[in-house]
Amino acid sequence: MRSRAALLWKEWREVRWFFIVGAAIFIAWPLIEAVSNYRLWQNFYSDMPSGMVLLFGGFFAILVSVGATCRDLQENIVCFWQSRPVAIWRWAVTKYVMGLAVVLTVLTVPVLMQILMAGGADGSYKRAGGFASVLICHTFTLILVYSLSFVVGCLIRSPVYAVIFSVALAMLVYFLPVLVPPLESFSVFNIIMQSPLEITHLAFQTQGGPWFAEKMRVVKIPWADDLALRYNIDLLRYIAFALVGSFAAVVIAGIAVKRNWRLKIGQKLMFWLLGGVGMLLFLTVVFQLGSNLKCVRQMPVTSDRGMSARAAIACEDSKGLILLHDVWLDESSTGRDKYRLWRFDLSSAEPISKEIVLPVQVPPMISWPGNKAAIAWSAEQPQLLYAVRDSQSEDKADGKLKLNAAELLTISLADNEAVVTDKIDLLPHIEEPRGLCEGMCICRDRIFVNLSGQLFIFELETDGKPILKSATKKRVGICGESGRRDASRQTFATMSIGLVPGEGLSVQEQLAVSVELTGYRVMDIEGDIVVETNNDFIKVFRLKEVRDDIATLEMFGYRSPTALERLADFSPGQVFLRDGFAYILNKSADFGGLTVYDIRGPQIRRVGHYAVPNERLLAIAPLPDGNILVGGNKLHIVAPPKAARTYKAQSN
Amino acid sequence: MIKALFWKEWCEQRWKLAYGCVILVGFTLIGLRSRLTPDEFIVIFASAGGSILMALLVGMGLVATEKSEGSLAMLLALPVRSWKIFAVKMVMGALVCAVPIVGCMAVSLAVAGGREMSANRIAVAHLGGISFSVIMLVWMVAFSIRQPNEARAGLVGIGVFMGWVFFVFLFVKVFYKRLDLVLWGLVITPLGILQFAASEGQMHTLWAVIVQAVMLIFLLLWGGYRFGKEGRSKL
Amino acid sequence: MNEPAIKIEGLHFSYGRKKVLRGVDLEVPVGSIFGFLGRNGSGKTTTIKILLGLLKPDAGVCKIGSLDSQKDVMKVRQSVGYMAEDQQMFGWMKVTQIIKWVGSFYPGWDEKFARELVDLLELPRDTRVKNLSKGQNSRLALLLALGHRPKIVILDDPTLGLDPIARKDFLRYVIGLLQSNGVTVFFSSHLLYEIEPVADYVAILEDGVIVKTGKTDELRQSVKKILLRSAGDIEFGGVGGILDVAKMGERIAVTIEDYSEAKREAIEKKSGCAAVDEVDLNLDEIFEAFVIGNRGKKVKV
Repeated sequence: MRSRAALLWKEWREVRWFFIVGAAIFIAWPLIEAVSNYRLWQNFYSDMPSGMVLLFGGFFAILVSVGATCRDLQENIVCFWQSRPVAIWRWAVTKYVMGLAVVLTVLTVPVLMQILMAGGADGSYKRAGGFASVLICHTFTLILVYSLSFVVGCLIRSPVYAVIFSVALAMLVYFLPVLVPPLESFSVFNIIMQSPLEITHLAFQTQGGPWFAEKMRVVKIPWADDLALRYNIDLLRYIAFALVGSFAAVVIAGIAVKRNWRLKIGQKLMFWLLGGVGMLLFLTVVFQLGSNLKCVRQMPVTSDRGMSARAAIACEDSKGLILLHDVWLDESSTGRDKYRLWRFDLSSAEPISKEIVLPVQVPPMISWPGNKAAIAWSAEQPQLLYAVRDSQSEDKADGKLKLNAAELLTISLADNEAVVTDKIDLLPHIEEPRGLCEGMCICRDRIFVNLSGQLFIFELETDGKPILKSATKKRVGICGESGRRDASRQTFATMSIGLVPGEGLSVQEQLAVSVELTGYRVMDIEGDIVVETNNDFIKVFRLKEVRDDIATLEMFGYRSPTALERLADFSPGQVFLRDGFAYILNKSADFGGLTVYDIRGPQIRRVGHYAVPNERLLAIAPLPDGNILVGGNKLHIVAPPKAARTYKAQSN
Repeated sequence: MIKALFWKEWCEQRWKLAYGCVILVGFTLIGLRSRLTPDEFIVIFASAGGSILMALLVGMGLVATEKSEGSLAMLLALPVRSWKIFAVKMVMGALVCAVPIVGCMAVSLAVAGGREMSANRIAVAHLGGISFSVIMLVWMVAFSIRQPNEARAGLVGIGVFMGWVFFVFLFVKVFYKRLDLVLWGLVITPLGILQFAASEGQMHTLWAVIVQAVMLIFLLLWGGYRFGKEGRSKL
Repeated sequence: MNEPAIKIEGLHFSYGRKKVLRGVDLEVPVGSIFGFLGRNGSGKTTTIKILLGLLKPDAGVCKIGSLDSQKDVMKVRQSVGYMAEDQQMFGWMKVTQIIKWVGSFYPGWDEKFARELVDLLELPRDTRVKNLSKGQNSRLALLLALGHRPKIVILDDPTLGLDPIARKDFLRYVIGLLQSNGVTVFFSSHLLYEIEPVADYVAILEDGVIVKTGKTDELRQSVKKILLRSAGDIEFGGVGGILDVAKMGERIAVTIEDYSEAKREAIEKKSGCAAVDEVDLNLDEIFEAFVIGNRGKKVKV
């Protein structure tokens, strides 16, 4: 007992400065911020702890463990204490436990404080649950990093080199699983992003269906009557991984000290190792996310920009329109919408026309369901633009939203001015005016509009004037997802699409129009292949059968974004298919760009990427020469990836 | 004689120069070519992050390594004034810190000049990084002269940097209502050099440079004095 | 017959490919002061570390009393007092703190005795270990080795780095404290003139084996140098026990192990010279003869 106390006393005396400095940085610093926030906003809260712990916690753990081990393993000191009747395992365990206690105290107390502050400040337990995820997941990562540094300290025995080696190892622990898809389950960032731990109301625990229940477990919080803790079983797997790794590291450390194993590496090699690991990780990120598609040509559209919100490109045979929806702030800092239009002809010497400003109207002239503008344009009538304009307001009778305006506008762009030449009021034809426009397109001299659960079909006369032909209560677009439930992918294996009436249209054209009319889902079609994408997946379907104007499609390809892509904010805004390749526009602010995927087989592969950071790329369109037009404040003509060029050449 | 000292320092530090060039310039080149993130992020990460990395790497080994290897006493026993030895070390250290960042600047200008950032802005950002690196090197060496080994010297360097960050944080929190005072507070710490290099604050940049230059001279004199005194105590 | 305090049989050890110990055999009688001699890098510290269970031998057995140094490691360390070569301790601890800390690992630690030793060894109680002088550091290390009143004390080059006065003082403490109490002292050093007056037994370690072991007095008696009047080239092949032959001015000095009249006559006959003198050697000279002696190669006059 005396010897145990002696060991503990010695370890505490040696490690207490780490505790003091660590507490000053990780606990006192956020407290100062919380006090300052209280002075400013009467809100005793700090955002710092979880960020600091995530950023610097690993390094602190490394310093503590290396400092503790290397100190006692210097050449002559090791002889001094080892020659005393001290069992090595007792020495190792005491040292490990004391250091770990300091690390966990210094790095968990601030996050606990943050959880209490978040839960108490605005009652937002969901936010508190997010920090709880950081606390739980990252704590086990810290244990793993600490343990790995412990064994490194025992093997290398030189503080500087051990720290460098440990930092290199920690970088691999934190980042390698993010970068290598098969290791995703072992990525702390991936686990945290899944929100594996939530504090939720008991009433919500059963929502989500059977696939949800497979992954999530619920535990009632004893001291809160209506609250429950919901956790993802992947979290348990991660914890097991961290604990097993830590245990193995400690065992190896003990054996290393007992058998006097030493790793003798020079200073230069250490630093190059660290640099090498960093570069390797960086190169892996670059390989996966970096730009590798060639930009053939760039054309400025406009240099002045507000907070560009959305864009749309309508294009046929290198001619078309680009529509920008900007939000500008006026003197009172209120946002004002502005719609601006340019015509382009890529074969011309001056490809971009002068700007055509659409007059400001309330509601705006163009409805924008999802990421697609409700516009239709054809190269046969290049001076005409068709647009749906709609708005809704709260119905005083039942409190629900009701459509109060719906028009099809014909806008003339002659003389570079946007003038509404025709207006068709659609409201009288709508049986149940609930729901805005979901999509619009032109096909074979007909305009199709999906509005408020009804399908409007307009025929275009020779002068381009639209005539309403029918306004049927027909559900077009996605009308069901069913079939075999794939629990591991949490998705459905078949999809049904209601088709537009087929007079004069082939099945593929019916399908293409129907897909175009599903404005709120990011989809495209080529032949009998449909691709759909969102933040969580890319799915590829093939047409299986058509019966009673319902097309049934069967999924044959699936891809979920890798951990790295999710970290890089994978958020598709638009997609088009060409020759078995899906061109997806990622509308993320910092990592936005065009990504190309090969969807020809069940394994969807990423084959190309074009990025222009700092310039939001907002719309894409295929060009007849195989290139891709990407637009925002500039138009970029981007060459397709090599795989696509090769495939096209072989097909030809 | 001085040439011999420079040669010795060059032989000892050149691998750090090579290391800095390969890692920082490689990172800059690959990052800018791949358009992984906005150019600004790559430029600032390379210049600011690189400046801290090089200052720590060089500062750790300038004096502390001599002490831990026991060669300091032999060095100071040479018929050369100790302040000259110290000056040679600092000059070589500053060069090793600066050259990789200069390399990053050249690459940034070549690859991304005028693309998302103007050439002027890129140059100013890197010059700020070089200045910060040299300042941090001087602070670190001046405060770590008594440290017996590289590990302790490295901790001192990290402590110095954290101290500046904490000072700025505290200043901002205390004087949050007075932006002008906050800017003057930034002038006192070397972080101001980085901040003003990136911003348009012309007047404050000038004051930041003057204040930091004065501090630098004082620290160099103080460091030189301590270097000689520390060495004499070992003889 | 009493079992020896320390017994080493057939000890082999290698650092990687470098063989350091090639079959060391040794017995240390109880209550003796045993000098373990060897050059730098001969394997003395390695042998001692194996005795304490700090290293695992490739082959061989080491026993401290009846305890096997590999199997009963903790018991060995509890019963042995050890002072390492140039012993470094935890610099941040004060003298009193480190004494108390080390003492907590020994069930038999005698606190009163330790306090007496602090005064006897003139150690400053409240000074941190890193601020002690070399002499004070050595004395503190000795105190830590003796505080639990061990029956066997192992000192590995305890006077390394001490000035002559400090060395003398240190040895005085060692002898004063230990010799009278029947403690076995296993003492490694290469300062032979210091060991000579105090050691009862010596063993010489060279090239991984013990080349000579025995009582100090007997060794001095059995190894002698005879001086021959030189006359041309002399060949001593076939004469056993010759450790070294060297030219000393006009004479040839032949150092002989296990000296006897018969050997002397054999050498005179072989060389064709008469012995003019017979010299007693000190331990230094005996050590030198065993370690670097040329074993009677042809000497050109």
